[in-house]
Amino acid sequence: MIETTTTSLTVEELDGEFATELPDRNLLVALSLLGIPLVGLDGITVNIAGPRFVA
Amino acid sequence: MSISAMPAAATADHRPPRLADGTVLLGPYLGSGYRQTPHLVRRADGRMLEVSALLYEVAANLGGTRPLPEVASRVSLSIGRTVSGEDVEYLVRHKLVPLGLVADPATPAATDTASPPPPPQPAPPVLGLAWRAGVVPRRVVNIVARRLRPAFRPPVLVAGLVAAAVVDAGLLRAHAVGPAGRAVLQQPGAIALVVTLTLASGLFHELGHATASRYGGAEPGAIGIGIYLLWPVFYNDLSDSYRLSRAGRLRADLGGVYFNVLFSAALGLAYAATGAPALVVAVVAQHVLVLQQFLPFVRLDGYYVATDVLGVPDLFGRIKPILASLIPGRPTPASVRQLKVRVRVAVTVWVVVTVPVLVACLAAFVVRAPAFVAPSAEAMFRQAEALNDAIMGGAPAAAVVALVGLLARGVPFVGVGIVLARLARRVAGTGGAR
Repeated sequence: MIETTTTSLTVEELDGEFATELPDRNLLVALSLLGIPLVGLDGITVNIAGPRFVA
Repeated sequence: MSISAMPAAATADHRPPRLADGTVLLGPYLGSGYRQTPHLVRRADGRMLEVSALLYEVAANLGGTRPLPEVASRVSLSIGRTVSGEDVEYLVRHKLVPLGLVADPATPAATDTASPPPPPQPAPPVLGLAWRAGVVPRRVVNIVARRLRPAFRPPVLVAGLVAAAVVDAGLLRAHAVGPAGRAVLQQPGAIALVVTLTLASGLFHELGHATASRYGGAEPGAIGIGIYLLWPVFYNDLSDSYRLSRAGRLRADLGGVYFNVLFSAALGLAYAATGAPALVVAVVAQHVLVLQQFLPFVRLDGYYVATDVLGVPDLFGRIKPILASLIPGRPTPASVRQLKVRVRVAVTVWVVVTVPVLVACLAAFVVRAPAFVAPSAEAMFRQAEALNDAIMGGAPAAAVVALVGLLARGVPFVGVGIVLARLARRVAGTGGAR
């Protein structure tokens, strides 16, 4: 099938050739800010009936 | 190397190998931090791969009809070294076929037109995105991004940045921030508006990435939601932007915060027109969000900026080999040796800073967890009650506040649970391998 008998590349060199999957480039925006005012409001009751909303 | 050393399957079929259907060769990875520039290949399943120049040349010269000695001659001319047909066959068999880039020569002729199944996916990274769900499909993202491309023309970009600076200066001069914050805290409707604007700015941020990517010539993917570490997140799949120049990738990385700046300027102008204090608080939220995005220790925009400045696309993947290379007497892993000297130094600095930071964060969380769990559970219960009351009372603004409050307390628990589960799976897998 293949009649080539000489090569300048060793098996080690061939094994050293790299081929790797790259990680996805999912660019994120963290929505942690949503929690900042609300986490701080844990102790506050929202009074939906009256004109002054925060009891 | 002799033919007899080849696996049996390699000689079972004498048809010349060919690229798998759907495989696209994309050329060099520009701005690389490697000693030898890697080349990019996109597999049929959309996954990007980096391969050495020799493997790329082999893949590029496989025609499906060309005998291997002829492929070898062409590759030899391209790379300036003598490569034999046996070498080509070895590389195809041991490198390209396992990654699904070349149709397996042993595949029956009847399935010639089919793509080989991609190799099994590795376990998700411990600090990776979880629970992903698409929100805006790729097609829609591309249509919108194409229309928004003028935002990245230099005169528009400069005008946008100047407008944002003027708005900020105006708000600071007017001492508007403090009174606005106090006013917003008194009104659930105003809080709901801040929350809604912040959510909208998250989507707009992702459109900024998509538009910048499109401006550079790459095709952005879908925009979606997910959980990353402790946070709910929006994400945009920009894997195609690997094929951009370094400047193009950096533009895509920074496109998100640029759109936050534009969003902030628009909010400031709206405040000037209406005087609504919620708009000032939303402007402040944009600034905090932008600063947070520049953290280089987790996969936020700052991390991708670091990978593109250094030309190393997988910094987290380098942690283990870099740490191994720091142990005296141990051989330096190939994935470290392949880096240029100055890049290797910079990646080492990133690893030496990032690992302690992440370990310290995890330790702080574990130490504080007992004091954190009970109040959080109680707060979630209260938010659930408030949500119920708001719904029953027909108060949509209060319902939005309660719902987001519930999510703000609940998502961190889910996120930590995912990280710990992945960590446990990784440890169990490693144990099994031993």
